[in-house]
Amino acid sequence: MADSIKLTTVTNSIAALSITITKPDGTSGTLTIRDIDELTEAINQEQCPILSPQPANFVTDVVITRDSFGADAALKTVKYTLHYIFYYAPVAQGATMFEKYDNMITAAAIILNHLAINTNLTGATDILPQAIPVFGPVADGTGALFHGCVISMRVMQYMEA
Amino acid sequence: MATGRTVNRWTRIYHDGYDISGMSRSIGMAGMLYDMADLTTLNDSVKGYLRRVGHVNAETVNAVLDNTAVTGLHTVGLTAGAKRTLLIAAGIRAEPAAGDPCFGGQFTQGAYQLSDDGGAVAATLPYGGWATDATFSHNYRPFGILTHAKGAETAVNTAIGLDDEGAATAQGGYMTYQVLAGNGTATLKIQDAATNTDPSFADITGVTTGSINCAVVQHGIVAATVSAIRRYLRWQIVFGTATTVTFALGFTRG
Repeated sequence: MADSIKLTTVTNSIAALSITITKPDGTSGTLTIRDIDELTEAINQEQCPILSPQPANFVTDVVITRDSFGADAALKTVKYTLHYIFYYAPVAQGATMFEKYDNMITAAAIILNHLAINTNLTGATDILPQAIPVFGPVADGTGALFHGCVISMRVMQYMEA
Repeated sequence: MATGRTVNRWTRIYHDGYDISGMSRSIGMAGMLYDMADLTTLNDSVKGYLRRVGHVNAETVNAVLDNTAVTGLHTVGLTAGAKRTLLIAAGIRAEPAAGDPCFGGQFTQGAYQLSDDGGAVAATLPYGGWATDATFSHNYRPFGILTHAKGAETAVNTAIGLDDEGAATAQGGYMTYQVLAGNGTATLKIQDAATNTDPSFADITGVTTGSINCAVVQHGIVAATVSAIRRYLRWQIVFGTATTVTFALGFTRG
């Protein structure tokens, strides 16, 4: 089989995940996970919570290694990190600025747990949540601030698979 | 079943009727290693060797201490010196499926050791090699195919089989079975066929568990009593009082 880097397959798989969390209005529902063709500049309050690809530096730490002899035909492994922004609720939604902060942390933990126990995603040989490089206010494309965090996932893929 | 490379997160280890995969971190090197006699003579320009006795072993299961009642490793692996039936299934980038590679046999567990591993409490189970008191003396290569991945069955098998070798073989073989759950008696078998159609399959002589009580865990190895093993293989079950049995089966050709 020809080598390929299935980056878009992985983002499709992530967008297809079904994660149930408690929304800022207190109801339970499915988290909206956007694919890379669904980015918007502004995040609307009524759309939250959303897990969306981080447009700047969405893919980082790309490493391709040769695992066998064979030059171009060699077995190879690609590893990369994907960064998603979790927008839970606008800062100051509620009576006080931090009213939704604890709810955001609870929801973020549920997302991380789901990602950690659902690692059999089409396009990836292995995937695990790797880090939360930003935890606190996150901004959409217009600069509006949201309670949320950045969730990074490390992907490993055998390029012939 | 898929083909190609895989990663260790898809390896599953069945130990005396228990799935210890969730407590194990690594195993091996599992395989066969021959002693080599140095028969170099004075006028040889390079050293020469001849194969002596083979050593089949699963080496070591590196695991974590888990004292979960009944199924925890601290329960099922605590007794050192015991003969253990091992079946290691190597799933190919997915949960092990029928047709995936496996390694199976009966090995003497030489020890059960606890140690510190970077702060975690680890459990180590080193195996001494093929058990002298195993069901039979090993004269096969230890790698075969998973004919039935771990799962429950409630009906006999009428499906077509697996083509693991591409041809018939003539050196016998053996089945490694691990029964993890059930609700009564049943008999597990391996069948072979020259053509891959349901009516063509017939039992391989000797490769049967006989009637066993699957309401408790069962495990073992059973060798064929014939040398000729036809090209296609499949699992089979004959229900006694059981209506459901959860098991994994491997078959190794000689």
